[in-house]
Amino acid sequence: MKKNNLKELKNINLTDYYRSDVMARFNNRIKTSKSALFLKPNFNLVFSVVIAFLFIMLFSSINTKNINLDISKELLSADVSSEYLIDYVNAGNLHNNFDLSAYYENLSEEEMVDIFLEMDTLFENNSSYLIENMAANLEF
Amino acid sequence: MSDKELIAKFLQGDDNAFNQLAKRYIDKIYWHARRIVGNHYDADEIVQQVLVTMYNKLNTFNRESALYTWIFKITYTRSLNLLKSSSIKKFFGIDNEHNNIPNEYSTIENYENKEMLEIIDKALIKIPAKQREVFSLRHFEELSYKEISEITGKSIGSIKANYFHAFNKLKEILEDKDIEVTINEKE
Repeated sequence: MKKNNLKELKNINLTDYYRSDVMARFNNRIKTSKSALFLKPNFNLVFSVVIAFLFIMLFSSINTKNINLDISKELLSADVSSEYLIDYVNAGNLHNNFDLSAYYENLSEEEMVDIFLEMDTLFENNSSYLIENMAANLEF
Repeated sequence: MSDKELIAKFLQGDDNAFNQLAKRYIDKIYWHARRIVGNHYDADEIVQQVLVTMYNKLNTFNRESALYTWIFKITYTRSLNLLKSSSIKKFFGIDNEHNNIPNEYSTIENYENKEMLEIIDKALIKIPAKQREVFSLRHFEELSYKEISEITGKSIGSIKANYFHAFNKLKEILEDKDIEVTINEKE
């Protein structure tokens, strides 16, 4: 078997076909990079990220602005006269719980009767149990 | 026309001058890249990258030094970068399997050469990339240690050490394949 020397192998040539193919692909690559300066492979990712970020910022600011405007408009056009205060919270805060016995103790007889009548209406005439219970507690 | 004249013409806007320069160096770039990366497809990609870099950066080339050392320097850097990125890809299991694809028949004419090339590719890939680089520049391109030092940025002492290490390893690997490796004595 013929003994080859490694040095002889440096003389291997590329084919003319391959050389011209390399040049054709290179010229195509350069042409593309010239016509799309901002889309060069090296800058692609950076530009995409920056542009995406700007878009997100822009749209998010527009959206927030719209939402805020909508809420403001709704508040300004609301019919305030139809709103009423919720008073029962004050009663609950008397002793920081919902035990109303102290509140009832301070009421006059007339006030108590008014409340019972109101409760009777609220509970559709079924408040007798409540009245009896409270009367027992207050010795009413 | 000399390299310097072609560079001057290209810098004045003559793209044809660049094409002539490129054709002059395609073989050198291809073979040097191939000896480092060890396969046709990566070498082909390096050729494209080097040509694009030359096209874009030729205006920064110091015309006092030789163009081929500048080109080898770009080829060296690009090849090492490609090896690094492919080793990272391999680590994460996303390496493309083109190393197993047979080379294009149109690249090299002679079948015997193709067979030999395959043996050399496999042998070279067994030695470290930096030793491969030095061995290729010294053995195949027949550059002096000083020129290799300019390209790689290493001291002449370390280049000599790399060359002899590579030489001994390749001699051992290629002896079984009936390929003789002789040392390049040229200074």
